[in-house]
Amino acid sequence: MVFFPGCVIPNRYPGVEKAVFFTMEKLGIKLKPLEGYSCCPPPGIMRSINEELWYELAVRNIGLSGDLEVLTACNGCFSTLQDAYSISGGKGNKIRHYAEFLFRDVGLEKIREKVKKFLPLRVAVHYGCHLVRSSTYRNVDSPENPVMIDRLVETIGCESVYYRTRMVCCGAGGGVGAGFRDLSLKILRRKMENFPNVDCIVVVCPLCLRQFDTRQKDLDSHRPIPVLHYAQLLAVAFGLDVDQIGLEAHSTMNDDLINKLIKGDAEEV
Amino acid sequence: MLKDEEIVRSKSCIQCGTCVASCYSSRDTALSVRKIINDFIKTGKIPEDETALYCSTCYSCQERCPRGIQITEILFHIRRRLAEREIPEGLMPFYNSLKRYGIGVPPEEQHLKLREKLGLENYSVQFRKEDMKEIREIFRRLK
Ligand code: SF4
Ligand code: SF4
Repeated sequence: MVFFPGCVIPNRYPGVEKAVFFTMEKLGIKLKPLEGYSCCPPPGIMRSINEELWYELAVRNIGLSGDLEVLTACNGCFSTLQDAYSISGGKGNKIRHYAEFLFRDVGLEKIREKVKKFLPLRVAVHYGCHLVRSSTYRNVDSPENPVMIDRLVETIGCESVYYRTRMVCCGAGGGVGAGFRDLSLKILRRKMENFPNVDCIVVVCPLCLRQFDTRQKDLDSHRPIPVLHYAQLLAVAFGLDVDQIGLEAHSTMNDDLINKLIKGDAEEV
Repeated sequence: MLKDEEIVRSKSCIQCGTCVASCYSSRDTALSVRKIINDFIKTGKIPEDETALYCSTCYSCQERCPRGIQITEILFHIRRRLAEREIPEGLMPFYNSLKRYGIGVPPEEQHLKLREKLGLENYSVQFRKEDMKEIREIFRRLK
């Protein structure tokens, strides 16, 4: 497989990239970086401006991968590359997302076998819209009531706490985060109304990550909850030092969570 | 790419409002996909409604529409029509950076440092002059 990192993972949250390579190696999956890649580019912005340009850039990226499968860890990259691939007449499951690849191909059993340190955290999972919708194109899990990320966090010892707005958008997509900051925050506020008391939010998309990480501070009467990409959590469970998952790039971290990540659950191992 | 048959399918809209009820952007803006579809049925033309820019492309409306109307794709279609006249201001920084570096969100000093600490190589097109030529060529051809 080749890894397509996109823009936000390598250039804002590089710890996610480190965690993806580390966890794949532990699982015995050969993963090479996709050299010379460009921005995917994102559907919300580029497909809204010039669809041909969006398509050509995406197809160039796919072309760099040759016969190999392409792994992404971003819902935006996943949806762009998957859509462009199918428009180009491509067949089969060439474009993969980290979460669905782990859940469907690697399997929970194998993941559990590799855990060095279970993490007894209370977490709120956020799937992100483009991982599962529109189901006409995605077809990885239920568009309304998916389970993959819940199972993935439970496998490494976390408790996934249900909340009513779990399938609501974070507010960053479609160019809204870039172009309409107020509206974007209003959507996030509705998303986080009556949010459960958890140690952290777990996402599988760096755009959602950045939205929760940088915009929660603008919500009044709300203590920001730290947010992690699932890859970072899994890397720690597989034994990567907490210092190596790039937490210095996160603005919502707190010592409480960092200590829990360092300590893990000694009992269960 | 919105196919003609998808546009025609919009005529089967029953104005049930499921789309608007599913839409978080509609709660705080004038965006109403039900109305956009209704305008299309009445006039035979997809309206160039600027509220389409408020859509966060969450696909909830499209997922739930009982008629299977490709609502989000129709909004993308409207957005492209609007962008033909003028690219929305808020999207320009990303667009410009993509054009210049091949990367929409390029790294700043602190991110490059963190990459170094984590032992990560820089292998995007931004760091490869030869590959960057291909990106410029695509932009030249399609802009
Ligand atoms: S959900 Fe579909 S059928 Fe109902 S109003 Fe919206 S577009 Fe029309
Ligand atoms: S895709 Fe756009 S219009 Fe449809 S529910 Fe989501 S934000 Fe609203």
